[in-house]
Amino acid sequence: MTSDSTVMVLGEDVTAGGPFGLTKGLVDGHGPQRVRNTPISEGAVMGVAVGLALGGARPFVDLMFCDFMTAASDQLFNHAAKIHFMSGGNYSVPLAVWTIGGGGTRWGAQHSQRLDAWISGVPGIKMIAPASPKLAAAAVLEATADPDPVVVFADRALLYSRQDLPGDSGSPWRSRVVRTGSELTVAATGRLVHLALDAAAAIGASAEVVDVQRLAPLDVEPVVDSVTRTSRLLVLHDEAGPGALAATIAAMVQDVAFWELDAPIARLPSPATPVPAAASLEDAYALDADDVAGAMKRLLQA
Amino acid sequence: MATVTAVRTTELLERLLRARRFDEFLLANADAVRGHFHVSIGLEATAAALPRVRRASDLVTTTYRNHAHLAALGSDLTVMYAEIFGRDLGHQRGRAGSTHLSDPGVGMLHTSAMVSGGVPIALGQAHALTRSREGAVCFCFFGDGAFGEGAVHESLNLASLWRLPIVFVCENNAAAEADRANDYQSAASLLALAEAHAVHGTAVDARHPAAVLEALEALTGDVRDGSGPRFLDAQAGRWPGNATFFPHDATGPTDLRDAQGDADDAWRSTDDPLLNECRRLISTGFALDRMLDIDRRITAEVDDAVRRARLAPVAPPDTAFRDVVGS
Amino acid sequence: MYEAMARIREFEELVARARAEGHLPGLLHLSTGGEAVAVGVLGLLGEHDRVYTSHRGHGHFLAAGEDPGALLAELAGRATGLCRGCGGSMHLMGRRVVLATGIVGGSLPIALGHALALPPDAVSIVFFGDGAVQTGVFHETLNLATLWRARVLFVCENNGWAEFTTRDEHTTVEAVTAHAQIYGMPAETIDGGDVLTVRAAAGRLLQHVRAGGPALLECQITRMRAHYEGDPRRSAAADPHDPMERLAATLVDDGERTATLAAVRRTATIAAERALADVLADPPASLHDTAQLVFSRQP
Repeated sequence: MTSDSTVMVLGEDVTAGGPFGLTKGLVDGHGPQRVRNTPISEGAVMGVAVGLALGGARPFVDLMFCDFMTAASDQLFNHAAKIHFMSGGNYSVPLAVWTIGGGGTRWGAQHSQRLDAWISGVPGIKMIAPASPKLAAAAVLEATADPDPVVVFADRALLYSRQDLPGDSGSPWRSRVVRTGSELTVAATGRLVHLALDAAAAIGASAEVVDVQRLAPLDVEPVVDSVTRTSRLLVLHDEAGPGALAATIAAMVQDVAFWELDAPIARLPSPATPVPAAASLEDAYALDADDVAGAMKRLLQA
Repeated sequence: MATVTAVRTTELLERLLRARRFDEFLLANADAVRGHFHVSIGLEATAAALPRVRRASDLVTTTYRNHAHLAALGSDLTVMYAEIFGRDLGHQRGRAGSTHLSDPGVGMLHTSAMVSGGVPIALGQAHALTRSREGAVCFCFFGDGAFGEGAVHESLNLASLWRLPIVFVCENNAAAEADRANDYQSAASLLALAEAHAVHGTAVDARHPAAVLEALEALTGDVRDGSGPRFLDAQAGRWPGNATFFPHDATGPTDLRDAQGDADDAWRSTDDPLLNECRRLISTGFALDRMLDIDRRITAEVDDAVRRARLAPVAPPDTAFRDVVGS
Repeated sequence: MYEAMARIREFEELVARARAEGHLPGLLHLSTGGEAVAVGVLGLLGEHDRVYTSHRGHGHFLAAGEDPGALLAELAGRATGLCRGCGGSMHLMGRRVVLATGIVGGSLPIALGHALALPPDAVSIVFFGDGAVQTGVFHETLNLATLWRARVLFVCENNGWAEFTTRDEHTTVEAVTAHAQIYGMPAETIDGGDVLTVRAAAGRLLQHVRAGGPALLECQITRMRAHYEGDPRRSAAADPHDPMERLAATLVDDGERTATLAAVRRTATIAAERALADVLADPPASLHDTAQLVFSRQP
């Protein structure tokens, strides 16, 4: 915001820093014209952001929880994502959206989702899911500098994490290997990258872990490359059910690397249910280190 | 029809106490809550009025700020706490938590954590009632912030177009501005917003439960008569504990004796609906000592409920994936 | 003004004929009957003003000076189209008319956002139908526009129809201005079939908007053709008032010759037909050219 005066922030409670402190202090430094609090009008606010972008500003929308994407979806999916194309290339929409998904807080079904497949499935949207603080910062900078709509999808579980990942000074636009290995490839996003690293160490497997951080357009190139060396692939994703992005990752890999595989691709998405509120139920729902280690072992034995 | 002076009974007091003590004990037992919750402190007047006007077949939709409605309607407090604490004993067996508490037994089928989420649903419920239950009504509660959502406008329009039997109740604890409804709402008033959609209504000072009851009764009567939907702007004071994103016990357990004292803070002297109801009862000749007796009884009930809920077994993990669909 | 209105009328009549002959595929919603609003309002368009419209936007594009040939080529799916064939009738994007959208109410908040980014004194003008008034986003936008004192002129073309349903089945509130008035913004209901009335009202309200704050102009018009071209339901108004005929009558009263007016119409017809002939000779848009248009910059 300091180096580019066209950047501005919109969202609920942004002048108070937001519920997670994302925008803390911004209004003091840049004023209420550039850091605009909004009423609970996600539909119109996303549209306002589109209009600002068309008018030469670079709006950054804090969409608090990805669950609210439902209210903002018409403007993001039907307008922002499609304007460059529908205009024949005459207009761009340099719009950045920050949102948070994932559970672990016992906040219940409407505040704990990941909607990756739905959002990333709309052509015209770019989406990055950073898994470390450096990459999150880089993603925000890239998103605000990009000429197209970019969604930065933050993992709830990593909001206050200070854990770095190998190689995370690199670009947030490329999926990348964070641990080399030879026995199997584990493709993961967000907190599951860290979980995969922990699980691999725990069972002593030579697992190559790939951080699939560019979810739209989906970057699976390093996964394909890894599979040619390991021949086994496990895809982890904190999204519900068979429609989760894990399925697309698996399909794209097998399109080009089927003959490299020694076993069917294993997928571990979340169960196909809404996220339950009670701690005991949510713990049963969420993928944990045991789930991941178990899946790795099964794949190694397949 | 109840007028302000005619309500001599303690029905409002008891419901207010039930709601208030429920939330106070919840705050004191926050360690047993793993997720987020909202308390209704300061906003209980509308809930306390509801059971008097509600008939058995009437339905209720509210928001994630639902404890007072449920407590006032007579929902089982142990079961409520159990759900909030993630225990199997809860109505929703731990899946819902505080934000999605509901109790079909008192006409509350579902609550939404999405601002304005319950409003279009109330329309559908009211529509279904017109086909099945003559004279039945749906009470739809939401906060002042919900008017930011287009869904509320769409719903008000449809309700008046289809003459649905809905009483919309806005629990409004926003600070009013001079020339507009509040900081976020530039329309002249919330009433004006409803009127613009041809939904008639009134405003009431929701710091005074008896006045709220009178207003709610009048509006509900109109709706039952088939005059179409109605709107109540229930203007409440703001409890200091709601000033942050997470409620905190800013004012301590309510002491009914403050109704006779000379408190210097706005909350105790003018904004607390429970203390205001005590003051009203005192002015009708009802003794403070008797109120304290009632309070002791209700407090013991709530205390017992929270203890039982804390002892209840957690929701078994192997049930976590059931009940996604009906069959 | 008659000439400007005639250009719109003859363009739309040509589009209707061309569609019937199979030259223009897709969904077409014509502005026939709305010419006075388009010309009356957009005749006052400033250099830095921007316009947003809806699926029924051809008239706005023409009145704002966009190239009719490029417009027609877009409707005909040609590579030379305004949007290289990617947008079509409902998603036209021009120079000063930034966006037409197929989502009812969709351009309202965008127009508001754009207004916030315009230079001082410049305004956003957004056209929408009475059907959009029942969308939630309309009300959200009015509130935000007032809160932020945005320079937006909301122009509602109230023809009493939303698709195939009349207004009384969508709402009990007759006056669109009632929704704007509660926000304290100037709001007028006028006869949208008289271009002079439209121009005068638009002038008044634009002056207010340029000074810093939104306003709403409700123009009562008739939808002279069906909701879309080819509609078998015949959802046009039963008793249409033709703004062209009304202006013609006024001009003739003031001494204009009917022959002159007829000549203006003929000139406009010929220009439109010539444009179509040119366009039909253009190559169709090809995906080869457009597949790279999803993003401005490949990641």
